Amino acid sequence: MIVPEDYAKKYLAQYGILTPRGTIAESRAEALAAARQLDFNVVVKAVIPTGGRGKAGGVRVCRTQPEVELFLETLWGKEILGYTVHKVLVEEVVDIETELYAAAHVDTVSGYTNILFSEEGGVDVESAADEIKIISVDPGADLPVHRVRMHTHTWGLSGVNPDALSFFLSMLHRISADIDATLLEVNPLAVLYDGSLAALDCKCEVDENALARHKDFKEMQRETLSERELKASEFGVSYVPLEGVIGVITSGAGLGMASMDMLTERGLPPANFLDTGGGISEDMLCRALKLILEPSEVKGCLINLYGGINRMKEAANGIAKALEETGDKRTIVAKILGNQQEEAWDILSAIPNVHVIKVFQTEQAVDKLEELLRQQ
Amino acid sequence: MKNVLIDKETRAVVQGITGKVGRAQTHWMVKAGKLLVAGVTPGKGGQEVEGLPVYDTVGEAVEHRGVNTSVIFVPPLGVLGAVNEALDAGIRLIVIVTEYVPVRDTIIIRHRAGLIGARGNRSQLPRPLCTRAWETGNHAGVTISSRKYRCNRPQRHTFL
Repeated sequence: MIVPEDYAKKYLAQYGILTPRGTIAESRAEALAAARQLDFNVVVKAVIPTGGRGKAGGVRVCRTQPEVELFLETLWGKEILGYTVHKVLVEEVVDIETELYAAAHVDTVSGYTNILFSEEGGVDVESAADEIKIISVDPGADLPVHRVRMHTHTWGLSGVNPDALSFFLSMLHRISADIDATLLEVNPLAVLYDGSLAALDCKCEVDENALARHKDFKEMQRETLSERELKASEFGVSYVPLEGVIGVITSGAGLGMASMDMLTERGLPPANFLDTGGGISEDMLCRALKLILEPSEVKGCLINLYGGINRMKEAANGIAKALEETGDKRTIVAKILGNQQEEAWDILSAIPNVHVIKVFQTEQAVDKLEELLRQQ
Repeated sequence: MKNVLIDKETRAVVQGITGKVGRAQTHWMVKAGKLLVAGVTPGKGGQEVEGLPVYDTVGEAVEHRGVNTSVIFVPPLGVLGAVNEALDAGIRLIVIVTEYVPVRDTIIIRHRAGLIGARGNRSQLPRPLCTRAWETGNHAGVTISSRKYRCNRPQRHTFL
C-alpha cells in the first residue's frame, strides 16, 4: 500500500527530519487559501499514489496568485499517470543548494534492508544507478548514527555534510522499520544554504500484511476501498471488481489468476474475483457468493476451491445456504477438491443450477461453464 | 537436495494447538502418524487436544515431552514470536504453515534461523507455508496435503 506524501512527511517530521510547511487541499478554494497563507510563493503538487509525477506535469512552482490559479485549473480533475487529481499539496518553496537521493528498501531476496544514497538526486535518479551508495543492514537490526558515519566519511562527499547525512540516513532506516515500510524514498533530499537537509518529497510503500500493527494505515486503506471491497474485507477475504461477465471465487490468488486467464481466453472475462485465502467457513462462503453474484453483469460463476486446511464441506454448505437465501438461478460451476471433497460434492449435486466438477483440470470446469452458458 | 527432514527421532509440537486451524489439523496429523507429542498455547497449559498435552511454553514441551520439531499454526503477527520461542527452546526444524506473515518478520525469521542453523525444506531454512516438508519420505501423509486428499492431479503440483 502506498502512503500519501503528506502523511509520510508527517512521520519524517516526527523523527526530526526537516520537511517544508504544507497543507493538503481538497478543493481549489482550499488550495488557493493555503497558497495565500504562504504569500503565493508555493509548490503545488498533485496528490496521487505514484512516482514520476513531476515529469508528468503534476508538480509546479508558482510565484504569483494568477500562476497558482492557472495551474490549479489545468490540474484539477485531470488524469495523471492513470489517477484523477482531486487533492493537492500546497507547500512553501524551499531555496536549495543541491538535490540528493536517499531511500530505505527491503530487499526480499537477500533479506537485508538496503539504505541507498546518491549525490545525484532529482527526477532522473534512475539513470544514475552507478553512483548509488548502499549500506546493507541485517534484518531486525538497528542502524545507529555512528555506523552510518563509518560509511559516509569514506564516500568522498562534496555537496553534503557527512554528519548531517548520517543522522538523516539513520532516521530513515528507523522510520522504515517502525512503520513496516518496504520502500521509503526521499527524492529530492535537499541541501539548504545553511547545510541542513530537508525532505522535499517522500514515497512510502508499507507492507499490507503488517497493517494490523498500524491502525492509522489500516484506516487509510479502508478509505480507498469501494463498497464491495469493504464488505469483503469485513469477513476477511479480498474482492477485486473487474469488467467482464463471470464471477470467480477461488481458494488462493494463484488459482484465481489461472482460472481468470482461462475464462478470458474463452471469451468469458471475469466480472469480479474473490480470493478466500485460508480459513474457509460456511458463513464466509455464503457471504462471498452473495457478494460475487451482486452485480447484475454476472452471467455465471466459477467456483474453484482446493481444500488442504480448508474444509470443503463447510464451503459447500455456505454455497447452498447463499443460493437458498437469495433464490439465485444463475449458472454456477463448482470445481471442489481436497479435504472433505465427497461430502461437498453430495451437497452441491442436490442444487439444480450448480454443476460439480470432480477432476483436477480447471479447463474442464471452464468448458462446462462455457457449454452451459451457450445453451441459455 | 535431500528433502526428507523427519525420521524416527522426530517428536513434534504444534504451536497454536488450541486455535481453530491448529486444532483441526492436529486431528488429521494425529490420525496419520505418531509424530506429534505435544501442543503449546500460552495460557492454556494443562489442557488436552486430541490426547496431546498442552503446555504454556515450548520450553516446557521440550522438558516434558522431548520435542525437537515444531509445526506452527499461529496467526500472522504471532509467527515471529512463535519461531523465536521455538529457536530459543533449542528446536531446529520448524514448519510454518501460516500465510500473510509481514515481510520484515519473515526476513528476520530467515536471518535468525540461518545464523543458528535451523532447518526447513529446500532452502534448509524454515519458510512460511512449507507444508511440503512433511509429506516426504517414509512418513508421507503426515499432515494436511497428504494421501487422504490425493486426487487425479499431475505428479508435480504446487500448493495454491
